[in-house]
Amino acid sequence: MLFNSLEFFLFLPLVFVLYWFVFKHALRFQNLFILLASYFFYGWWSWAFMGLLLLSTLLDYFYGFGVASSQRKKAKIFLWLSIVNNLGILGVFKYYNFFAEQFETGLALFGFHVSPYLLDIALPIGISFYTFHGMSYVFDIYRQKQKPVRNFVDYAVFVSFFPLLVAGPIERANHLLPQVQKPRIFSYTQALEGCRLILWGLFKKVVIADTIAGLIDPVFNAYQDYNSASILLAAIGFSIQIYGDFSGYSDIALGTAKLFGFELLSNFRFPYFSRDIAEFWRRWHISLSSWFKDYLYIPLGGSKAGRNKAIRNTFIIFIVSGFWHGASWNFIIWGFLHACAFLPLLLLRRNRQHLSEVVAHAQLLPNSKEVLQMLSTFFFVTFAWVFFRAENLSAALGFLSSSFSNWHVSKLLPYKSILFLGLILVVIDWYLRHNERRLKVPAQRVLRYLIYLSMALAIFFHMDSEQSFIYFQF
Amino acid sequence: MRQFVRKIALLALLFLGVLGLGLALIALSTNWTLQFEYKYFGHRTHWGSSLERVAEFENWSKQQSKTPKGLILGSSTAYRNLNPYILAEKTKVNWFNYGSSSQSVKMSYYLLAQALHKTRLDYVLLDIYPPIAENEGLEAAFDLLYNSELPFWQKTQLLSHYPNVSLWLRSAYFYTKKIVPCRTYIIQDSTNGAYLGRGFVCSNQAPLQENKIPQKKLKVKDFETLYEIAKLCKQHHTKLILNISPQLGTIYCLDPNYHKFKVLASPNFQNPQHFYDSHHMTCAGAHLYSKGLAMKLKSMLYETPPPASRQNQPE
Repeated sequence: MLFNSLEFFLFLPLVFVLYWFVFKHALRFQNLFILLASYFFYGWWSWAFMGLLLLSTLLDYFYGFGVASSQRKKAKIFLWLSIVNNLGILGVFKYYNFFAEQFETGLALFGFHVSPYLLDIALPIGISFYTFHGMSYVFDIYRQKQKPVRNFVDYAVFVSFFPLLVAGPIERANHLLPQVQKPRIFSYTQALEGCRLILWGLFKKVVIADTIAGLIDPVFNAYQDYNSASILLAAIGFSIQIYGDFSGYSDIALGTAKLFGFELLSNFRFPYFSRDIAEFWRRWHISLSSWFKDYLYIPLGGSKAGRNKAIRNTFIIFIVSGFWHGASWNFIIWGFLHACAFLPLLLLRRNRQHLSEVVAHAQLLPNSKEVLQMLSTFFFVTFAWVFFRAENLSAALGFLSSSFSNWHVSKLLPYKSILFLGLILVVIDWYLRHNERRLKVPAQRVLRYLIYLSMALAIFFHMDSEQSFIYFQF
Repeated sequence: MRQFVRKIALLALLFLGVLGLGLALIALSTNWTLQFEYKYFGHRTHWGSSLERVAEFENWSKQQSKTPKGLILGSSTAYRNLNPYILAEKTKVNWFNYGSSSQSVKMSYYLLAQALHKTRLDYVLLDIYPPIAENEGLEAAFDLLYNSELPFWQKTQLLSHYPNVSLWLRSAYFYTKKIVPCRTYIIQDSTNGAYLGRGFVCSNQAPLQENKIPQKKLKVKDFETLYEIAKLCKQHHTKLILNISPQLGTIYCLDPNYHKFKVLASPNFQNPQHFYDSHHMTCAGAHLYSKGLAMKLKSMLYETPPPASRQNQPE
């Protein structure tokens, strides 16, 4: 079920009413109900892959007890079992074909021709997210930051809670599980904030991202036919699209969770207002970057294990992060490019310059230096997105070279709509930039309602076809 | 919590009110200008002749005929290429062509189910034009909701099958126009061809002189809905026959699953002068094609008498 589908607009109020009016008296019934609702939400897409989700949940639930053992050797065995199990699931469903093809290509270079068996199965939605939930739970138990959960339903809700099930945010056990285990009291303010986030998220997804997608997709599919200016604008358009799409999804997830009394981790903090690439990664897909930092970068030694190891670790984390997005060289190169941009900051110890405060925190507008910093970061990120978006490596390179060589071509894409939608997003984000979780709204009721109504109408009229979220494919 | 629910409900009502008001204003505006209607919903059109076909079908379904009844389903290749009068003459079956624009197999299933509610059918001839067959049928739903006078309950059923905002809005606009005093405007398109009755549309477009379409092979799939249609026919003791619509320069590779059905095909019907585009036939082309098809159909229908001849249909 997609967040931007009519089914979801029927599903959500129904689950909300039953959750707060029928099951509110007993926490265990409330949790069981939310679990069943989550499975229904997932099963709407594919009942067949429900088994995989259940299997993954069950295994990590049991591994949790083994990892909690006081005998470190036994704990380590269960830890590795969990890693092998989760990475095995990912390996089979997400990466097997990629490795098989690379194997075939590699052998062909030496004159051996083999045709390995390729799997003809769809990538189960949310697989990269729920396996990472399970792993973080087991890792935290191993590091004694978390105790194993006795109640299976509680644990299953942590893994499968429907707002985060298919595209995150990737939650941590010590953040979400206590909320699952504690009775929840309805909060009017929290629910209202949730509705605002859902509305804003839908606006970003349906009105901004999907409209731009419709305009730029033809350019990415046939860049040879377009003028260089249009190709460059399409690349910028994709930057806006992917941000609107994924941050829109995350806002809907956060807002939906708030309706049920849960607070999820933030996933985005206005990343395009970042002044360097290090700040960008503290603001873009935060739950994933912090996951890799905590469970990969720091265990490898982080930046404190000497200069060479810090360089190695930086490349590992960015390349693995790229590969997490998909089994393709494009994603690996995308990660590599980000590592290259991050490395100078790390070596010059300037990667922690802009730790908390957003740009122009106490001012209305940024100064010229900040504008330049933001623009240079944005254009680098846009350049890297080309590899992320393109079908394959040669398409990405062709797209980039055409952006320089196609000035003689007359075909243009409708640039006004892209610029207009981009401008709307920038202006509103700038206005909201101090807090991504509590959207600032005008104090005057009439104006507020007019804004809600206009946004709802714009969403409604743009919901012509349900476009899937980009991150569902990961 | 009740305060929150009340507030959301009020906002939802406000939203629906504004939406209704917007639809009413657009409908009202047609008294002075047609541009708003055109911009947001497009005008109703005779293109595809759904208006005439659906109205005639309602009467046809009520007819108590002594001869067996047959229904033709499919997309524009059905209603433009299959002449029910010629088929009726040769096969002695009372055929009605219930094809509609971009009618997918899913949409055919839906229409067949509703037709079987209204009348007894001895035969169903399902015309399959592979490029259309596998789509969801949204375009056909648009056409039937907006351009026909399908009964309200049928339209509602159709809407429930397609959770699509545009479709719902257009349908809401259709009914708003019935309440608000406004102008009814239905476009006549001279290139559409002439509606000759029983659902058949005869084209008046010039034939192709040569076939510039390169040879290609096309795989025909999607059996799930076909099986559903077969099941439905079996339940109603209706004999199902598939017809693979010819397309210039295209060789269809039929999946072996098709052999479970009774299939008619005319792969050699490839003279470009019988077509006005790659897959729609001219009037003369449709005449000739229907004649040939009627002969094959006749021998297929009477190889064993209905309704006992259904053992080849899949479960």
